[in-house]
Amino acid sequence: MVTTYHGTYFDGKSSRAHEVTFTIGGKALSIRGEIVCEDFDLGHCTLEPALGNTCRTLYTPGGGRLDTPDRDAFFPLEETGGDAGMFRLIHFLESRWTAAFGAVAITVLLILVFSIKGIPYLAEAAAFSLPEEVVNALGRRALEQADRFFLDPSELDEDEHLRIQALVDQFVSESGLPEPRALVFRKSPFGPNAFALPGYTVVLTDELVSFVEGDEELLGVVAHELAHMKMRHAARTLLQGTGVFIMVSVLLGDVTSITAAAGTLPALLLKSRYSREFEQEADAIASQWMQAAGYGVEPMIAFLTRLENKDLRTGGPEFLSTHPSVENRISDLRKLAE
Amino acid sequence: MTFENWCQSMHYDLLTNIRQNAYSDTLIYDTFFGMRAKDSILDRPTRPTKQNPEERETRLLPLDFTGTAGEFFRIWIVNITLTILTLGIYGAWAKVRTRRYFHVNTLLDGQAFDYLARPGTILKGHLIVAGAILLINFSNRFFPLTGFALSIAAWCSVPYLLYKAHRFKLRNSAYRNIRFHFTGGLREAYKAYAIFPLAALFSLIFYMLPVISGTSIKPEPGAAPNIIIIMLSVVLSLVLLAVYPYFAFLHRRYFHENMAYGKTAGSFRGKAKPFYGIYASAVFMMLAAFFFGGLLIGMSAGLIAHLVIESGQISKTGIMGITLFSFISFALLFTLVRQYIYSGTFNYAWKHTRLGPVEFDVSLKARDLAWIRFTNILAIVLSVGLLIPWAKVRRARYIITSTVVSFSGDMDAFEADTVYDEGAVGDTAADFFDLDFGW
Repeated sequence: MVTTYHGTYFDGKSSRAHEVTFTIGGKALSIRGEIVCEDFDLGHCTLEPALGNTCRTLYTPGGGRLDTPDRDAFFPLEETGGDAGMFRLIHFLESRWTAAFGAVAITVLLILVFSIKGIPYLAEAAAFSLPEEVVNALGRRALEQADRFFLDPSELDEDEHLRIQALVDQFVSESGLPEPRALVFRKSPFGPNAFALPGYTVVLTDELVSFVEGDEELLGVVAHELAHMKMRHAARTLLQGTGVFIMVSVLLGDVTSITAAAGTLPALLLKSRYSREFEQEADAIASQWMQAAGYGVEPMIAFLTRLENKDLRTGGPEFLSTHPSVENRISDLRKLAE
Repeated sequence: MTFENWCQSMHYDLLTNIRQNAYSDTLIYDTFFGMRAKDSILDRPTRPTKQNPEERETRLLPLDFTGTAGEFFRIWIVNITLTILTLGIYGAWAKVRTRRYFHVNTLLDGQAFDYLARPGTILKGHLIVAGAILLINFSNRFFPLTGFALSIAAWCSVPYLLYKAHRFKLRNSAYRNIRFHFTGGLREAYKAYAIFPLAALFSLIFYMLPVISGTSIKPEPGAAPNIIIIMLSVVLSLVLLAVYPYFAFLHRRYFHENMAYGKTAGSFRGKAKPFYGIYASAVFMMLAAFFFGGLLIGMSAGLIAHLVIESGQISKTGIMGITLFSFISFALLFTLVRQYIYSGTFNYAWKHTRLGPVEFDVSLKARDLAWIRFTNILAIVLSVGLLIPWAKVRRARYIITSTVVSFSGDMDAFEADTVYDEGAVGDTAADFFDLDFGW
């Protein structure tokens, strides 16, 4: 059966619009108009996939273009499967709200699975397969930059450095850690702080050394930082950041436009979540070492409590923070001690 | 890892800067006050020309947009789902469907535009650009020197990428089955896009000299600031500021005078002077807003300080409130100024562009654009991204329907040129970093 359709034909050589009728019989396409008389083999024509409510478009071998408002006119081309058939299915999905809601559900699910399990898992695997030298180089570079931009040389006595180093060495052997770690002392404008750089470097600030009460508290802090290093948290943070960046880029298609601006907040929340997980893990491991060395978790709890009392910063809500709230950290530590 | 973050944001800022420098933010300086340019096509007589009776009346044809937010939402979400499920590969097809949706729903004189890029070409572009970004990121972290060299190379290729992006974009746009194309040369691209960033880079190096030469940026106690360096920095910044509008004009001209539709070449008769007017008003608006905004914030900070002294404790809500208030007002101000510059230069450039017998009149208004941009961001954030399609359709509809095409002669008389293929690397890079005109 041959049906006649109406359409508009552009020959591709001039901008003139020809009002035409066309018929499709088997593989033969005949286009007829006032001054148009063209016959084509449908097999050599390219059908543009259907898109929304717009008219259907077919490009002929000679570069001509046939538009028709009749969306099923080119069905014979689509029922054979292949690309055209696939796009018929995609257009079918795009035309239905039920499919759209399904797509929202699948997308949310995939994003959640990937951000909660996928990225951390891949980053962990990658971080532990990095050669030791690369990790050490990362740490050295980070320390050089930190020295250049915000750290000053320590003003504590050399003797105090040696005493603390000896204390940590002893702690390391008591708690069953494999290697002794070199400590780095610096003066910092940001007050009491300690941080672990990749490659077994713990930086202690002078302000921290004078802030802690008793060596046990200091060992608790060092243990926490050593746990970060053992688990390669710094390298994993970098890799997870890259993972989040890739995920947001794939989802939104660019990095600077308005839509990407909307992607920065979820990315930030996700990264803070990763960071809080690392803090929890570091607390858990450090508490094991402290208990193995016979100090228990009390010095860690005492330190956290005093840090919070001292801290006058306008702290935001926990979901925005890189560290879990102190109450949660303390209650976790108590649970671990039991 | 504060420093890594700092590096990342620095890298990001540089990219954003390339984008802003490369494309200036376009539209017309008079529309903000609701006036129309004197030479607007809408004010011209539309009588047939006496000398040539063959020539038809000048017709004014507004562009029409038929896309809807609901329809585009469904296409968008299916695109995203399939892109995730295929680990990014469908992204190329998704991009073609998205762009084609906006082209096909843009109507002039009852006929739709079309977008003809092949997904395979875009996929190749995606792979190359993704590979380059990952390589640069990886090198920056593990081999800083190689990473630095690669970043420099990437920087130097930006004008080339923009040139390729223009070619790709226009070559793949068609109307009445006649393709557009871009006739601009590579040398002009470097002239328009490379000189200003290079000058800005040199002045940046100059500002950073003390840091680079190894001395710390931490102020040495008791060290007097170097007056000569400070003076030179100020002069340098003023010079950069003074030449910027000219380069914004060059960017616009590069695109508009090299646009072609089939065998019909475009021409551009815009001048640099109005760009100076637009940027001067923008700077004036900023200064005025900073002055009054600073006054307001200073006053509220004073009030809070007073309350702190009275009650003896720090009011967290007060400080949060002021911070939030300042942030929102400055975000609003920057949105307004950006859209003012965009609308001013965009309107001006299109009003002074000709494509054979075709002329354009674009009447974007800064306050409308700023309102759309600001509410779009709000809607996107509050809907966790689900209103992105609505926001895109809304902005596109405003820009497209603000355009009127004036036409004298025979719409059927355009002829096609020879079609050749374009690679998509420049297009992908430009799209990824939003180096875009958005017309």
